[in-house]
Amino acid sequence: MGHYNDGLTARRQEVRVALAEDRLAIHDLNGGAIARWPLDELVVVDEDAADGSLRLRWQKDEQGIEGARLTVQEPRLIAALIERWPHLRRGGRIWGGGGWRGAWRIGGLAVACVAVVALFLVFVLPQAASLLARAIPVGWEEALGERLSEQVVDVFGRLAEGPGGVCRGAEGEAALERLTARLAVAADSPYSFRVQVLDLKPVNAFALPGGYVFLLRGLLEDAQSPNEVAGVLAHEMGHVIRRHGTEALIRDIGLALVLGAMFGEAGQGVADMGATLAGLSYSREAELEADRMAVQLLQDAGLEVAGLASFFRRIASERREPPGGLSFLSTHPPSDERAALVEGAAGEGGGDAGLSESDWQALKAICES
Amino acid sequence: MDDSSLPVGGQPAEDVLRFGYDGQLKAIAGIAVVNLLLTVATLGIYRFWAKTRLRRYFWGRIALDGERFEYSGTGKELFIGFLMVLLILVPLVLIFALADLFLPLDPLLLLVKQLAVFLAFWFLFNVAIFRARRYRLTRTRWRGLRFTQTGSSVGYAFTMMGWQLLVALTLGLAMPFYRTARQRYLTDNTRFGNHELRFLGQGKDLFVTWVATLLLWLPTVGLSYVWYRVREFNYFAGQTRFRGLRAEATLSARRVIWLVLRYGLVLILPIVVILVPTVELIGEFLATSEGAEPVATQVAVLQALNWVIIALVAILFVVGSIGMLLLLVHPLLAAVVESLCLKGRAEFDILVRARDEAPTHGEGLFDALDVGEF
Repeated sequence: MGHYNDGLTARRQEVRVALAEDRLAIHDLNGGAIARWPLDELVVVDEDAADGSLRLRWQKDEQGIEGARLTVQEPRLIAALIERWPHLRRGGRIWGGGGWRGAWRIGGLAVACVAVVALFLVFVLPQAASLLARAIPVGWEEALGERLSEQVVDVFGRLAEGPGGVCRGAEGEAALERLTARLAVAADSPYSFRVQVLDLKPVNAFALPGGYVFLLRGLLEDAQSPNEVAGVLAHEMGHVIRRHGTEALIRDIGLALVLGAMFGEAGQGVADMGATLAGLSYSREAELEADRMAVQLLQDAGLEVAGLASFFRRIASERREPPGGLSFLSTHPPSDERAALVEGAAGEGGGDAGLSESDWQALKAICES
Repeated sequence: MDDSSLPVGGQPAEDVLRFGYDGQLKAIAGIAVVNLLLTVATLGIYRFWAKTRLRRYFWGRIALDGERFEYSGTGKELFIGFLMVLLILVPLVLIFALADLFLPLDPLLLLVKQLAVFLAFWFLFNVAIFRARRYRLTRTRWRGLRFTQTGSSVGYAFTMMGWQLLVALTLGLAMPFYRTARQRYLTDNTRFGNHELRFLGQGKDLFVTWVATLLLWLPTVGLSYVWYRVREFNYFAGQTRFRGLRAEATLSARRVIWLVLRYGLVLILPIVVILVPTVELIGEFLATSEGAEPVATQVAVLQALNWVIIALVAILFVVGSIGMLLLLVHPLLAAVVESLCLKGRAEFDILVRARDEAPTHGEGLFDALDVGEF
C-alpha cells in the first residue's frame, strides 16, 4: 500500500505496490497497472522521514513525467526494498549520489576547488594584474600616488620623531633633487619623480605608483656613500617605471574580490584577512626586475653601480632584519644573491659618486633643520 | 460567509487542510555540522550543496494535508548560477574599485560614481530577490506538481525601487503599503500547477499596527518590529486565495518574540563572557604599565587581544550558522507552519502541471549579493 502522484495532475492516488523481479509494479486499487519502475533506477526523495515512510521517484523522470512520486508506507515492503537495494537506505543518500560514491565526489570537489583557486591566485591573477597595470594611463597613476602619498605623510608624520614627519633641510632637499634629476634623465620615463625623506629610524625606502618615492632617515644614516643612496633610489624608481605598485594594488583588489566571492556570506572577514596577508608587497621577480633596472639607470646616469652592491653586502653580513610594517626588505630575495646579481650586471664599473662631499653631508643632515 | 453556501444539513462545506512540520533537532544538527565542515574544507564552494541539503530536509518535513513538500533543486544548479553571476559581477566591481583608485579627486565625479554604484546595486539587489524566489518556487513540489513564478524581475525591481523610495521619503511611514504591494506582486505572480494564487490585502489595514510599532520601537528596543511582522504574516495569510481555498494563520507574536530574544541572548553571550573581561584586563594592564613596561610587551598584549577577537569571530561564526538553525530556524519554522491552515473547498485533483519553463540554474545573484535569506 502507498500513494502515488502522477506528476501531471495534483491527484493523490491510493495504490498497491508489488516487488516483481527487478521492477516495482504500481497498480490502482482495482488492479489496473499504473507504472513499472526499474528497481536500480529508483531514487529516494527524502533523506530521512521521521514517520517511517519512503518517498521514491524514478531517476529517468527528469525527461519524461517529471513529478511522478510514490510514497510507500508499509514497513515490510520498505524493508524488502532496502534489503535488495541497499543504496535506498533512508539517510544513506546524503550527497545526491549513493553513499560513499557521493562522499568521494565531494572529496574530489574539495581538492579541485583548492587547486583551481591556487592556480588562479598563483598564475592567472598576477598575469592579469600585470597586463591591467600597463593599460592604466600615467595620469591616473599620478593621481593615485598623490592621494596615497598624502596619506603616507599623514600616517608617518605621527610616528616620526621630528615635527611634520617629512625632513625639509633646504640644502639636503636640493642635493636629493640633483641626484633624482640625474637618474630621471637617464630613465627617460613618463613619470616625474618626487622624492621625500621621512624622519624615521628604520633602514628602509619605498615607492608609490606615479613616481612618489620615500626614503627613511635611517637609510641615509646607515649609508656609507652617496652611491648606496643612489642605488636604493634607482631601485625604487625601477619599481615605479615597471609599475610594480599599481600591479600589486590591482592584484590585491582581485584577491579580495575572489576571496569574497568564494566565501560568500561567511566571510568578508576572511577576504579582508587574505588581502592583508598578501599585503602591498612586491613579488620576488618584481624585486629582481627593479634591481636590474637600477643597475641600468645608474650606468646610464654615469653613476657607480658598486654602491648598490655594497649596500646589499652590508645588509647580508649584518643579517639585519628590517622591522615589520614597512616591507622594503622583508619580502626581498636574499641580499647576498642580489648583491651578486648587481655586481654581475654592473660589469666593468666606473662612474662617479653621484654627490659632491658637501651635497652628501647636506643630505645626511636633511632632518636636522 | 453567507448561509446560502451551506448545504442543507447545516454541515459547513469547508475542508480544513492543516500544515504540519516534523523536523528533528538531531537530524538538523547533523546536517549543519557536516555542512559547516565541508564548507570550510572546500573554501566555501560547498555552500551550494549545503544549502540544497538543508532545504531538501526542511521542505520534506513540511506537509500539507498529510502530503509532504519536496525541494527538487540541486547544488549544481546553484553553483552554475553563481559562476554565471561572477562573470557579470566581478568586472563590474573591478571597474568600480579601479575607478575609486585612479579617478582624479573631483567631488562632482565622485558623487556621480557613488550614485552609479548605489543605483546599480539597489537594482541588482531587488532583481536578485525576485530571481531567487523564482528558482525556489520552481524547485518546490507538492503532490507531484511544482510552483511557478510569472512576472519579470526587472519589472519587480523597478516597482519595488519606487516603493522603497517612497518609504524612505516618508521616513518609514509608508512601510505597510510597500510591504503589501510587494506581497501582492509576489503572490499574484505565483502559480501552483496551472492556477495562480491571489492576494487581496490592502496596506491601510496594517497602518495602525505599523504606527504602533514605530511608537513602541524605542521602548521595546526594536522588538515591536517582530510583533509587526507576526501580525503582518497572519494578515497576509488571511488575504491569500487559491481557487476555492483561503489561508489562515494564527501565529503567536509572544512565541516568536521569545525565540528571537533567546537567539539574541545566545549570540551575545560569547561577547559578554570572552570579549568584555579581556578588554578590561588589557585596558587595566596598559593603564598601569604606561611607561613602566617595554614597548615590546605592550605590543605582545595587543597581539593577544587580536587573537581573542579572532577566536570570538570564529565562535560567533559557528553560533551564527549552527546555532541559528537549531535555536531560531527550526523552532520558528515549527511555529509558523503549525499556525497555518487552508480552509474552503479543496479541488486539487483537477489541477494540472504548469507548462511554462523553469530556470535551469539558480540564485547566483542572490548569493553574490548576500541578500541573506535562505
